[in-house]
Amino acid sequence: MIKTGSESVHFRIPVNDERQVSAQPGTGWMMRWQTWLLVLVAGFIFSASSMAWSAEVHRMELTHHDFEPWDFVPKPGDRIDIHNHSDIVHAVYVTYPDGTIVNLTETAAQLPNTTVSWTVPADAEDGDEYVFRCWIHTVIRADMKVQVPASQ
Amino acid sequence: MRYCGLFLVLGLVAAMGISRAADLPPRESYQRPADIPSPPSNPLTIEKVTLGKTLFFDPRLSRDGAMSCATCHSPNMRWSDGRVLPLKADGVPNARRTPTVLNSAWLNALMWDGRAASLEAQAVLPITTAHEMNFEMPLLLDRLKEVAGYQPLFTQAFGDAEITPKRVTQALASFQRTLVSKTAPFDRWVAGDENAISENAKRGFALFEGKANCVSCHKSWRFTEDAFHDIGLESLDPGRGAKVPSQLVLMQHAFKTPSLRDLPKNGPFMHDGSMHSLEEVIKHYEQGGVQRESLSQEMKPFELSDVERAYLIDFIHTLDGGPLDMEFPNLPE
Repeated sequence: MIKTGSESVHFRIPVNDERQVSAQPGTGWMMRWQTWLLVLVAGFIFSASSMAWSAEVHRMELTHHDFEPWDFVPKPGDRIDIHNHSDIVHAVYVTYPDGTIVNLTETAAQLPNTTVSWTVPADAEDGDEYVFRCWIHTVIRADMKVQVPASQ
Repeated sequence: MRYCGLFLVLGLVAAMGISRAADLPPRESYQRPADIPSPPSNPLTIEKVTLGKTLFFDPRLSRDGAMSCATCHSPNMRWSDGRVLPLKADGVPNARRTPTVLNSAWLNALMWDGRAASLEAQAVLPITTAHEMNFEMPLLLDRLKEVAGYQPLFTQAFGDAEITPKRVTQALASFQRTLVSKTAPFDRWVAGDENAISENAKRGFALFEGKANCVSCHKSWRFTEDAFHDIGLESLDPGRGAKVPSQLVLMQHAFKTPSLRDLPKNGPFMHDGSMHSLEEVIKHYEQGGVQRESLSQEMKPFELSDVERAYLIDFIHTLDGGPLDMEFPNLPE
């Protein structure tokens, strides 16, 4: 059913555009197929050259004055969730191997029962050490050594 | 049957005793450690401690030869100086009270703002700070090399007589690690001596862990969690806020929680030496301090009666093991 009136016409403009794109169905379909193939191949090559593994999510628990023991070894691209299960505020930051400091919250205040996240840089190298500390409670410290899987 | 009444009474008495014991918080978390920790890079040795002690008391470590570490960290003043503000602090903006060096072996952040991460790193700061010893390390080394009596001390400590900044700070740090609070009545109570502290002090301990919640920051056997808080003092000193990224609001006006062991009787207390009695300090916490964005979230106002405040003070006095006296070393020539 074709609607009349300016509102309907205005509404249909994108539809007409789409039709224009698909005015030659065979060619359009081929172009899109080739494009997607190209994207897939490029993506495959890129992923093979950067990370030949899937990123994981790990969890660390923050108590009053310590990280609870953890048993994972982070890889580049892995996400680490840090949950504050104490009843006090923490302010965790990460020191990179080159000395760069990254705060895990904008105001550096992690309220009780909240979670903050940090992702291991994709370009982290095997053996790079990232140090987690709390600005408020300097006794809190976790030294996290990154391991690049051998399959790379 | 005739013993039933007796058993009933004994049972009630026992239950009351258990109930009273159960009213008090557990003591295990306050047990003193058995050993003094030291980093692998600077293990504790008697020889380094001996050298460090000599350096600590030697005024030649200052430019004018008039001030040693012990001038401001005096054994007679609980290893502080008893002053509101340190010597030579006149006109220094945001000058801070001299903290004690007792129990510093366990610290992982030193100075009121935590700018030194180890005793070794801290040791150089007073030597080179303009309003303290006001010296430069190269000049200090030259001066020490001229003192023949230091050569055997360095040799015994490090294997040869070479004098380097690292060796000076390692020796100073080693000596300071040996400055540990003496056993206090509270320690004896923690160890099981029920009569080591008074009943009022025990009530104070219950308040410390309960209504007053001092324990939220004054934890462990040293009665500090070595953390940084803005406790709402009027002082404009940014404290740790000047040392960390500016967006860390909670670190503005924040200072390291001091230990409650071996406190001087009349203070001064707080980083700015602004309070002179424990009663004044406790009332400050009761009121909750200056309300501002950086105020520690542990600062929650509460109310104590005069009697309760006195209990709390009685308890804090049980953390005093008495002065850690020390014989002054003979300075080498």
